[in-house]
Amino acid sequence: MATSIADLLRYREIESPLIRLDPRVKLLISIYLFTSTLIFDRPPLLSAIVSTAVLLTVGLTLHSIEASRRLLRTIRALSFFLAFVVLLNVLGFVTQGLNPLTLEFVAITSSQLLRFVAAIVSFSFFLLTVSPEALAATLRSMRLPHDYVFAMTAAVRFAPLFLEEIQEVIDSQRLRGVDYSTRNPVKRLRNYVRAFVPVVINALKRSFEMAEALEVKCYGAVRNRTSFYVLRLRKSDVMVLTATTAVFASLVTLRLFL
Amino acid sequence: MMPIIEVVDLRFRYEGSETWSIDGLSLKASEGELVLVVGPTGSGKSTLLRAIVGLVPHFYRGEYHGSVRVCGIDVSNTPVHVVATKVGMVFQNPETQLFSTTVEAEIAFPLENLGVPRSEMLIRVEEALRATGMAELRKRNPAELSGGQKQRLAIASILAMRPEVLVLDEPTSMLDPVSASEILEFVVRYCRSERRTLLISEHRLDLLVPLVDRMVIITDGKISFDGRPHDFFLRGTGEEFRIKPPRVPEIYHKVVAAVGPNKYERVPLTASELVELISSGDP
Repeated sequence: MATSIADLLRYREIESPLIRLDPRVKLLISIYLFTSTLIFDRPPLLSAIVSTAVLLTVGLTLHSIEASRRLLRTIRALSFFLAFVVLLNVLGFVTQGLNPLTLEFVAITSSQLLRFVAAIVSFSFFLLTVSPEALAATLRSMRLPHDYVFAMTAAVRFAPLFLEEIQEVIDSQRLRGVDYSTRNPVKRLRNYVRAFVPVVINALKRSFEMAEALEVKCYGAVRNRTSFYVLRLRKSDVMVLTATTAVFASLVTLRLFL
Repeated sequence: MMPIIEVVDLRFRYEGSETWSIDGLSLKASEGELVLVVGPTGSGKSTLLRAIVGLVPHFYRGEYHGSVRVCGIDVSNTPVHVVATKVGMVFQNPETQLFSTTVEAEIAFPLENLGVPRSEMLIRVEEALRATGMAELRKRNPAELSGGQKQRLAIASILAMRPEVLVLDEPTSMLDPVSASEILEFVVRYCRSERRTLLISEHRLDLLVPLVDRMVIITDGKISFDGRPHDFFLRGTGEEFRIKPPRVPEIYHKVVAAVGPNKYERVPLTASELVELISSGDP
């Protein structure tokens, strides 16, 4: 479990024409896609069309099997929330004295599910195509303090390691007879608490070693830190930005007059 | 010649500790010298190496006496980031020394922290990539590299700062034998060709003993031996210092013990030296 989450968190460069776009442009496109799914909340048919269009845009522009696989895994990981959306809709219908076994319920619920998935995927689009370094450069270009940006990139770098370590502790305790598959929730919780202690000790040790390494790598030495990655808008970036902004503006106008 | 590292009567004990980790230790090393620091676990090797880069007493607090000067800088009065531009330090665990998500960004990381202009940074990153043979891996994520490549990257990011002294604290303890020997051979070759001073603590003596100029044995925070590896192993295998001797001198001493007292003035440190000695008609 921990290792599969670790795998999702690990950034891998994918083969996609989008990779070369400026990350700020990709962020804006993500925001456009996300906003489109938000503003077209009704009627259900239009909402479903826009959400499907967003999903298709992301799927087609990513143009990568690896990216699609990761997207599907993200959606699978969201299945609990999707079930929750269905449950809320059922409750909403029932409390209003309506029958949930109707075509109207199916239409509303499926459009909401599509919107939910499209909203998540619109940001996955950004996260899948932007390396943490590029993301850090984007955040720095927005004048975010370096310490926060570093904390974020370090988290991206170390979260998979941390999760792998949790898995190692759990595995080694399993080999020593600790039963993590027990159905008794109290016993299960107690077992996880047993894993918690070595995990925290390891994490503290690791953070101490990291702090030491940061010292010798001169972290915080000067106020005006320089950057290896510098963002520059190219002609192709401007063209994509103009085209997507025009489409988004048309969608907003359409929504205003509907 | 003026020593590049000068430790004078250093005593240090960690906050809350009753015992001295370093107890009246003095050491000098000159430019381009390759020094191997050996000793059992808890002998004070790591504390000494951390004192040379200034982590002791700036990062690790405690009672500190004596002085450590590196490249003319008094380490106890200088911030670690200033000393770190003269003394590059690499630790045991490569995982906790890498902070970026591409190889080239990792190498650039200390340079960014020092505010080195980007044009200069590009040159130095390229230089470190070439020196460590990592140019083809520049876009790779460090998380996907092998243990040996990760440690090589940790060294590359330190080399980008162009330090005059390299301090390595058991850099191969988490590596397989092949990666370990590659790393050690690379470091020695680099320091020889660039005339950098090297201080390295290591348990894999077989690989390093024949390659270094000097060997310093530390026990209980004091220096028990300081001299050429050859002179040390001529006396014996060093088991009294709780160190695991390299295989060749160990075999040599067993042979000498079997055939009679050692009347010869040289001890082989490598297998080829041993073969040479045997074929020359010596014991």
